[in-house]
Amino acid sequence: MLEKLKIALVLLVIGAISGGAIFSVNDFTAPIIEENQLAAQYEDYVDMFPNMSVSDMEEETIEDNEFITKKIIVYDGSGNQLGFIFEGKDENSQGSIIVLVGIEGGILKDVIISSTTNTPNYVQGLKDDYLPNLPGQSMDSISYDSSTGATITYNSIKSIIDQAVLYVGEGPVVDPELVQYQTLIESADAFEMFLRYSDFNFTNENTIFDGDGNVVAYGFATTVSDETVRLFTAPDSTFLGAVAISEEAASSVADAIASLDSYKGTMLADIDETTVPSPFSNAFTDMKTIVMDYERINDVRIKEETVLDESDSIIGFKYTGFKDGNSANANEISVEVDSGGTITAVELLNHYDTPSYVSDYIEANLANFVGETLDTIYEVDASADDAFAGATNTGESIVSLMTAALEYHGKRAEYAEIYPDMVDYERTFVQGFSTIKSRISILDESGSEIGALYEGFHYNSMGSVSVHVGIKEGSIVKVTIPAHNNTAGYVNNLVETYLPNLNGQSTSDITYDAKTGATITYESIQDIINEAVQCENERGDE
Amino acid sequence: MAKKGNKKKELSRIANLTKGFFKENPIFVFLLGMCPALAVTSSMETGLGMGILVIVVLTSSNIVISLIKNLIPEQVRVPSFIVIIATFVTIIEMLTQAFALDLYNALGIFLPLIVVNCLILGRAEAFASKNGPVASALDGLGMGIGFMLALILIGFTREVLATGAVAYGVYLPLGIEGSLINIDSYVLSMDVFVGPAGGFIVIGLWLAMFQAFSNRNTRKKADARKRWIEEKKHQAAERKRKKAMKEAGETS
Repeated sequence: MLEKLKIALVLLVIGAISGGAIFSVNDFTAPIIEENQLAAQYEDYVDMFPNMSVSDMEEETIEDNEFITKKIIVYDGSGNQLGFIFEGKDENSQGSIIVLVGIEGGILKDVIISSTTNTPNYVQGLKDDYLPNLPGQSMDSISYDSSTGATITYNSIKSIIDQAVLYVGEGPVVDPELVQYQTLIESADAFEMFLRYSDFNFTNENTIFDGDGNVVAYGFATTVSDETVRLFTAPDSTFLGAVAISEEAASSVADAIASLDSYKGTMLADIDETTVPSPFSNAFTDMKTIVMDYERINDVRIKEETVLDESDSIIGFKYTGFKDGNSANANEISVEVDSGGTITAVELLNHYDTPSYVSDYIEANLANFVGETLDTIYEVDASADDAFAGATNTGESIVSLMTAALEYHGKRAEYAEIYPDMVDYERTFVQGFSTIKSRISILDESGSEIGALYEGFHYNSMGSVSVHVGIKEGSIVKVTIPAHNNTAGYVNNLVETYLPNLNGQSTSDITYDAKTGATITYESIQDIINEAVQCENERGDE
Repeated sequence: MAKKGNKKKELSRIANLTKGFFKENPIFVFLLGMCPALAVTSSMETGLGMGILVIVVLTSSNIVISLIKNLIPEQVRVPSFIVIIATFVTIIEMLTQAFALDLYNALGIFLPLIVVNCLILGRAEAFASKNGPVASALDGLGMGIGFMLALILIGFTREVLATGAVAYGVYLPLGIEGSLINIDSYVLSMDVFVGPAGGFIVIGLWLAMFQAFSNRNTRKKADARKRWIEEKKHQAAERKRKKAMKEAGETS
């Protein structure tokens, strides 16, 4: 017993002394270790972005990438985003390597080997002779040295850079142009070219998206003192202002842009374009025409006009629109559709394709599309023999226009589902609401409003849902769902069983069903209805 | 007499210190600690770094074990040794991470694995647990230096054969960076020596050379001893002959 006690005591003493020694050393080294790690980490970061603010940077751990382990968004002291740093790790046959890749405005800013257990002389050779060739290259086309004498290490570095570039492509891109847009539109997160124009006082139109992929603005490019300046409108046609694409635009351009400040936040319809200062007056007028008259449907700009008979009765509709074709400029095309939604005529009004191609392949085939409807147009293949083979690009633009025209016309059928007596309609944009963007005034033969229809759109956890809400004289006429990607069974049940319960209810006291079996979709519908009612009430108050 | 005894003791201490360098080299003679010898010797400097750390751990643990050897019950001798060694390794690991971060990163998992290095537990069990602290310290220091020299030799060879150069100041906080040698030759660019295969090849070659050297020494010693015995025999025969002649002369 005494022997066992002695053993236990000896082990206890040895353990206690060991623990005490380790504790003391740890107490002494822990702050140094932490400082070392931070210093090493931030030293590399600051080497890449000397103007960065270490305290403002945002770190994100990446877990779903083979090489990239961390993404750092770098800001300066004023909160302006400078770029990205990606930290990547690879295990190769010589050990492991951690590489930092700096990207600024689509350009590879720097590549730093943060730590590695690869052979020092190879690593040093890469640092001295090959890594300096990488900074300054465009992210889109990085050129690597084919022979470095340190293939294993260099391959790891290449893999990490390539993945970083890919990751930037999938995530937010720091494009200098986007940074400029963000000075005006804070939520701007991405943009893409929409259409190129030739007969207007602006050259093209792009689309600005927020981080969720919602369209937040349309930008129209014009030229002032050899600088490209974009005029922006919100989807509800509110004028947002103008921005020079180059950060280093001349002061005269900045002054001209500032002259538009008084129009910011005003609907285009309420702006007298003749009062807009000279550098922008023509472009502004054209932009107002395009935004007010032409609807954006899919990838085209298209406007609708009624076709009247001798007694001024509507016998059809003419749709005229723009779509990029074979060249950088948009083709202008018109499509006539009868009241039943069938194409009666197609005409290529303006094009930039090779004339002989157009006459041989386009104009010779246009008549073939008379009789197409919304149900059949989706089956048309512009490259097929029966379409426009031989002038595919221009042909595709015509098919796009025809499709948009029929979809545009299809809205009438959707509106008529709520208001069967509708003869025509007028759209006005509404502001200040998250789910509804436009109010459709439903008109009778005499042009008088017989009711209102609100177009709403809501994202939910199952996708999105589009809702039309008819409101007339303080009551809900009908609620329809023209499009959605929520679970079809749930939505069908809602449409058949629960939405009819809303018909005829007073907008001052709407009773929603407590239990529908499609809670998520129904909540989206409720949000849209509530905003539609609120908007209609506000209009009544005015 | 006392003076003669002290001199003998000092010679013994030097022999104790130096025996690990060549005669009882842990890697080339006893083949102990082969795992780090393969894993961290792709460059000379990592081998040097590992060697220094092993010296510290081996010497410290040998001293402590020799000091408390009589207090540790026989039943828990080995576990106690391991706890002591692990304590020193943990301390060394933290100090390395604090003051030689590059070396810490380069050694990776092989730094904490010093705990299970056969050399360290072997010297604790075979020497420190039976000798005094001074002798144990010298034994640990000598064996550690022998281990480090072996790692340096292997690392140097591999780095030269793989890259044609030997870098310094990359992993150890020396304050300067550079290359000991730098030979620009395509012959000295054999990637295989960076990998594990190269480690085995180099260790094998050096082992062969050590064994050849050791065998030659053994043969030399055996020949010398043989000559010494022959000489002794010859001297004895001569003495016997002289004695016989002397006896014959007296008789006549």
